[in-house]
Amino acid sequence: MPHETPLLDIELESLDAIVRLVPWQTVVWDDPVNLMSYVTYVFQQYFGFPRDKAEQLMMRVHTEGSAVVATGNREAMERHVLAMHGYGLNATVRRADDAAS
Amino acid sequence: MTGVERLPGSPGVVRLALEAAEVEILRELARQLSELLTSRPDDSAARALFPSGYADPAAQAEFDRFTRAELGERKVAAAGAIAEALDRTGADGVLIELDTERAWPWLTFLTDVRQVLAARLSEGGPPEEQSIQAALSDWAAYLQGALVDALSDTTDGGAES
Repeated sequence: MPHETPLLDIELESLDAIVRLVPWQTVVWDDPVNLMSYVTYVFQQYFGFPRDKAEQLMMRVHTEGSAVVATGNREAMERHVLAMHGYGLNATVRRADDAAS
Repeated sequence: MTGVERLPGSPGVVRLALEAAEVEILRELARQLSELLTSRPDDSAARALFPSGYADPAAQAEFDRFTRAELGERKVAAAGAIAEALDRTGADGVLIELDTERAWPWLTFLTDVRQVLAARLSEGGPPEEQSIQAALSDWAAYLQGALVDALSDTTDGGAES
Protein backbone atom coordinates (compact mmCIF):
# COMPACT_ATOMS: atom_id res chain seq x y z
CA MET A 1 0.00 0.00 0.00
CA PRO A 2 1.47 3.38 -0.97
CA HIS A 3 2.26 5.82 1.81
CA GLU A 4 -0.28 8.58 1.88
CA THR A 5 2.10 10.87 3.73
CA PRO A 6 5.62 11.17 2.41
CA LEU A 7 8.16 10.79 5.15
CA LEU A 8 9.56 14.25 4.55
CA ASP A 9 6.29 15.79 5.62
CA ILE A 10 6.91 14.80 9.19
CA GLU A 11 6.97 17.90 11.29
CA LEU A 12 10.06 18.90 13.08
CA GLU A 13 8.42 18.21 16.42
CA SER A 14 7.69 14.59 15.59
CA LEU A 15 11.18 14.19 14.18
CA ASP A 16 12.46 15.29 17.52
CA ALA A 17 10.21 12.72 19.16
CA ILE A 18 11.55 10.03 16.83
CA VAL A 19 15.13 10.94 17.59
CA ARG A 20 14.27 10.60 21.26
CA LEU A 21 12.93 7.12 20.57
CA VAL A 22 16.46 5.85 19.99
CA PRO A 23 17.29 4.29 23.32
CA TRP A 24 20.34 4.94 25.43
CA GLN A 25 22.62 2.37 27.00
CA THR A 26 24.52 1.89 30.21
CA VAL A 27 27.94 0.48 29.32
CA VAL A 28 30.25 -0.95 31.97
CA TRP A 29 33.96 -0.95 31.09
CA ASP A 30 36.71 -3.25 32.22
CA ASP A 31 39.09 -1.79 34.79
CA PRO A 32 42.23 -3.21 36.36
CA VAL A 33 41.07 -2.70 39.95
CA ASN A 34 37.70 -4.31 40.56
CA LEU A 35 37.41 -7.98 41.47
CA MET A 36 35.35 -10.17 39.14
CA SER A 37 33.30 -11.40 42.09
CA TYR A 38 32.55 -7.84 43.18
CA VAL A 39 31.40 -6.78 39.69
CA THR A 40 29.12 -9.84 39.57
CA TYR A 41 27.76 -9.00 43.01
CA VAL A 42 27.02 -5.38 42.00
CA PHE A 43 25.15 -6.57 38.88
CA GLN A 44 23.11 -8.99 40.97
CA GLN A 45 22.29 -6.58 43.76
CA TYR A 46 21.71 -3.38 41.82
CA PHE A 47 20.03 -4.68 38.64
CA GLY A 48 18.50 -7.72 40.31
CA PHE A 49 20.01 -10.04 37.71
CA PRO A 50 20.18 -13.74 38.54
CA ARG A 51 23.70 -14.90 39.32
CA ASP A 52 24.31 -16.61 35.96
CA LYS A 53 23.26 -13.52 33.99
CA ALA A 54 25.36 -11.27 36.22
CA GLU A 55 28.35 -13.58 35.72
CA GLN A 56 27.89 -13.62 31.93
CA LEU A 57 27.84 -9.82 31.81
CA MET A 58 30.85 -9.58 34.09
CA MET A 59 32.75 -12.02 31.84
CA ARG A 60 31.81 -9.95 28.79
CA VAL A 61 33.19 -6.84 30.51
CA HIS A 62 36.32 -8.75 31.41
CA THR A 63 37.02 -10.45 28.07
CA GLU A 64 35.59 -7.94 25.56
CA GLY A 65 36.41 -4.77 27.48
CA SER A 66 32.81 -3.64 27.96
CA ALA A 67 29.20 -4.77 28.12
CA VAL A 68 25.80 -3.12 27.79
CA VAL A 69 24.04 -3.78 31.09
CA ALA A 70 20.90 -1.69 30.56
CA THR A 71 18.94 0.05 27.79
CA GLY A 72 16.29 2.72 28.17
CA ASN A 73 15.74 6.44 28.33
CA ARG A 74 18.61 8.80 28.94
CA GLU A 75 17.63 9.83 32.46
CA ALA A 76 17.36 6.24 33.61
CA MET A 77 20.73 5.39 32.07
CA GLU A 78 22.34 8.39 33.79
CA ARG A 79 20.97 7.14 37.11
CA HIS A 80 22.44 3.69 36.41
CA VAL A 81 25.83 5.14 35.48
CA LEU A 82 25.90 7.29 38.60
CA ALA A 83 25.02 4.19 40.65
CA MET A 84 27.85 2.23 38.94
CA HIS A 85 30.29 5.06 39.72
CA GLY A 86 29.05 4.89 43.30
CA TYR A 87 30.04 1.23 43.38
CA GLY A 88 33.43 2.16 41.95
CA LEU A 89 32.77 0.67 38.50
CA ASN A 90 33.70 2.40 35.27
CA ALA A 91 30.50 3.09 33.28
CA THR A 92 29.25 5.44 30.58
CA VAL A 93 25.97 6.49 28.98
CA ARG A 94 25.72 6.33 25.20
CA ARG A 95 23.07 6.34 22.52
CA ALA A 96 22.33 2.85 21.24
CA ASP A 97 23.24 3.96 17.69
CA ASP A 98 26.64 5.16 18.92
CA ALA A 99 27.59 1.61 19.86
CA ALA A 100 30.39 1.51 17.28
CA SER A 101 32.10 4.57 18.69
CA MET B 1 42.09 -14.40 62.76
CA THR B 2 40.97 -12.19 59.88
CA GLY B 3 38.03 -13.46 57.98
CA VAL B 4 34.43 -13.18 57.01
CA GLU B 5 31.80 -15.77 57.76
CA ARG B 6 28.08 -16.22 57.58
CA LEU B 7 26.22 -16.00 60.84
CA PRO B 8 24.42 -19.24 61.58
CA GLY B 9 20.75 -18.54 62.24
CA SER B 10 20.89 -15.02 60.79
CA PRO B 11 20.35 -15.18 57.04
CA GLY B 12 21.77 -12.21 55.15
CA VAL B 13 24.22 -11.35 57.91
CA VAL B 14 27.97 -11.84 57.76
CA ARG B 15 30.54 -11.39 60.48
CA LEU B 16 33.81 -9.66 59.76
CA ALA B 17 36.70 -10.47 62.08
CA LEU B 18 39.54 -7.97 62.15
CA GLU B 19 42.79 -7.94 64.04
CA ALA B 20 43.83 -4.85 65.98
CA ALA B 21 46.45 -3.95 63.35
CA GLU B 22 43.86 -4.13 60.60
CA VAL B 23 41.49 -1.89 62.56
CA GLU B 24 44.25 0.70 62.77
CA ILE B 25 45.01 0.47 59.04
CA LEU B 26 41.32 0.78 58.13
CA ARG B 27 40.93 3.80 60.42
CA GLU B 28 43.91 5.47 58.83
CA LEU B 29 42.74 4.67 55.29
CA ALA B 30 39.25 6.01 56.06
CA ARG B 31 40.75 9.21 57.42
CA GLN B 32 43.07 9.63 54.44
CA LEU B 33 40.36 8.93 51.88
CA SER B 34 38.02 11.51 53.44
CA GLU B 35 40.86 14.00 53.55
CA LEU B 36 41.74 13.36 49.91
CA LEU B 37 38.12 13.79 48.78
CA THR B 38 37.39 16.89 50.82
CA SER B 39 40.73 18.75 50.72
CA ARG B 40 42.46 17.63 47.52
CA PRO B 41 39.76 16.97 44.90
CA ASP B 42 42.16 17.77 42.04
CA ASP B 43 44.73 15.20 43.11
CA SER B 44 45.08 12.57 40.35
CA ALA B 45 44.17 9.85 42.86
CA ALA B 46 40.98 11.72 43.79
CA ARG B 47 40.10 12.18 40.13
CA ALA B 48 40.42 8.41 39.64
CA LEU B 49 37.38 8.06 41.92
CA PHE B 50 35.16 9.95 39.47
CA PRO B 51 35.09 8.15 36.13
CA SER B 52 33.62 9.81 33.04
CA GLY B 53 29.92 9.22 32.44
CA TYR B 54 30.13 10.17 28.77
CA ALA B 55 32.76 9.81 26.07
CA ASP B 56 31.70 13.20 24.69
CA PRO B 57 33.53 15.97 26.61
CA ALA B 58 30.58 18.41 26.64
CA ALA B 59 28.11 15.77 27.84
CA GLN B 60 30.69 14.60 30.40
CA ALA B 61 31.18 18.13 31.77
CA GLU B 62 27.41 18.43 32.21
CA PHE B 63 27.14 14.99 33.83
CA ASP B 64 30.04 15.79 36.15
CA ARG B 65 28.43 19.08 37.18
CA PHE B 66 25.22 17.29 38.23
CA THR B 67 26.72 14.20 39.84
CA ARG B 68 30.13 14.97 41.31
CA ALA B 69 29.05 16.50 44.59
CA GLU B 70 26.59 13.69 45.34
CA LEU B 71 29.10 11.01 44.43
CA GLY B 72 31.82 12.63 46.53
CA GLU B 73 29.49 12.95 49.53
CA ARG B 74 28.57 9.28 49.23
CA LYS B 75 32.23 8.27 49.25
CA VAL B 76 33.02 10.45 52.26
CA ALA B 77 29.95 9.07 54.05
CA ALA B 78 31.11 5.50 53.38
CA ALA B 79 34.54 6.25 54.86
CA GLY B 80 32.77 7.84 57.84
CA ALA B 81 30.58 4.76 58.31
CA ILE B 82 33.67 2.56 58.47
CA ALA B 83 35.38 4.85 60.98
CA GLU B 84 32.21 4.86 63.13
CA ALA B 85 31.84 1.08 63.02
CA LEU B 86 35.48 0.72 64.10
CA ASP B 87 35.03 3.27 66.91
CA ARG B 88 32.22 1.21 68.37
CA THR B 89 34.56 -1.73 68.78
CA GLY B 90 37.12 -2.48 71.46
CA ALA B 91 40.87 -2.10 71.21
CA ASP B 92 41.65 -5.75 70.51
CA GLY B 93 40.64 -7.71 67.45
CA VAL B 94 37.03 -6.97 66.62
CA LEU B 95 33.97 -8.61 65.19
CA ILE B 96 31.64 -6.54 63.04
CA GLU B 97 28.28 -7.84 61.90
CA LEU B 98 27.04 -6.59 58.54
CA ASP B 99 23.85 -7.22 56.61
CA THR B 100 23.64 -6.62 52.85
CA GLU B 101 22.78 -2.95 53.34
CA ARG B 102 25.43 -2.15 55.94
CA ALA B 103 28.06 -4.00 53.91
CA TRP B 104 27.82 -1.56 50.98
CA PRO B 105 29.93 1.23 52.51
CA TRP B 106 32.62 -1.38 53.25
CA LEU B 107 32.56 -2.74 49.70
CA THR B 108 32.62 0.67 48.01
CA PHE B 109 35.21 2.01 50.44
CA LEU B 110 37.56 -0.91 49.75
CA THR B 111 37.16 -0.36 46.00
CA ASP B 112 37.89 3.36 46.39
CA VAL B 113 40.97 2.61 48.48
CA ARG B 114 42.23 0.28 45.76
CA GLN B 115 41.51 2.85 43.04
CA VAL B 116 43.57 5.43 44.94
CA LEU B 117 46.39 2.94 45.53
CA ALA B 118 46.37 1.97 41.83
CA ALA B 119 46.60 5.66 40.87
CA ARG B 120 49.51 6.13 43.28
CA LEU B 121 51.27 3.00 42.00
CA SER B 122 50.94 4.21 38.42
CA GLU B 123 52.71 7.42 39.42
CA GLY B 124 55.77 5.33 40.29
CA GLY B 125 57.02 6.46 43.70
CA PRO B 126 60.02 5.08 45.64
CA PRO B 127 60.19 1.24 45.60
CA GLU B 128 59.61 0.84 49.35
CA GLU B 129 56.49 3.02 49.12
CA GLN B 130 55.27 1.03 46.14
CA SER B 131 55.63 -2.28 47.92
CA ILE B 132 53.57 -0.95 50.84
CA GLN B 133 50.92 0.34 48.44
CA ALA B 134 50.84 -2.98 46.58
CA ALA B 135 50.56 -4.92 49.85
CA LEU B 136 47.73 -2.67 51.07
CA SER B 137 45.90 -3.11 47.78
CA ASP B 138 46.23 -6.91 47.96
CA TRP B 139 44.97 -6.90 51.53
CA ALA B 140 41.98 -4.66 50.63
CA ALA B 141 41.22 -6.99 47.70
CA TYR B 142 41.35 -10.01 49.99
CA LEU B 143 39.00 -8.36 52.48
CA GLN B 144 36.57 -7.23 49.80
CA GLY B 145 36.64 -10.64 48.10
CA ALA B 146 35.94 -12.41 51.40
CA LEU B 147 33.01 -10.06 52.09
CA VAL B 148 31.56 -10.53 48.61
CA ASP B 149 31.86 -14.32 48.82
CA ALA B 150 30.15 -14.47 52.21
CA LEU B 151 27.41 -12.03 51.15
CA SER B 152 26.84 -13.90 47.86
CA ASP B 153 26.43 -17.14 49.78
CA THR B 154 23.78 -15.70 52.07
CA THR B 155 21.86 -13.86 49.32
CA ASP B 156 21.96 -16.79 46.89
CA GLY B 157 20.82 -19.06 49.68
CA GLY B 158 17.96 -16.67 50.37
CA ALA B 159 16.89 -16.60 46.73
CA GLU B 160 16.74 -20.38 46.49
CA SER B 161 14.58 -20.95 49.50
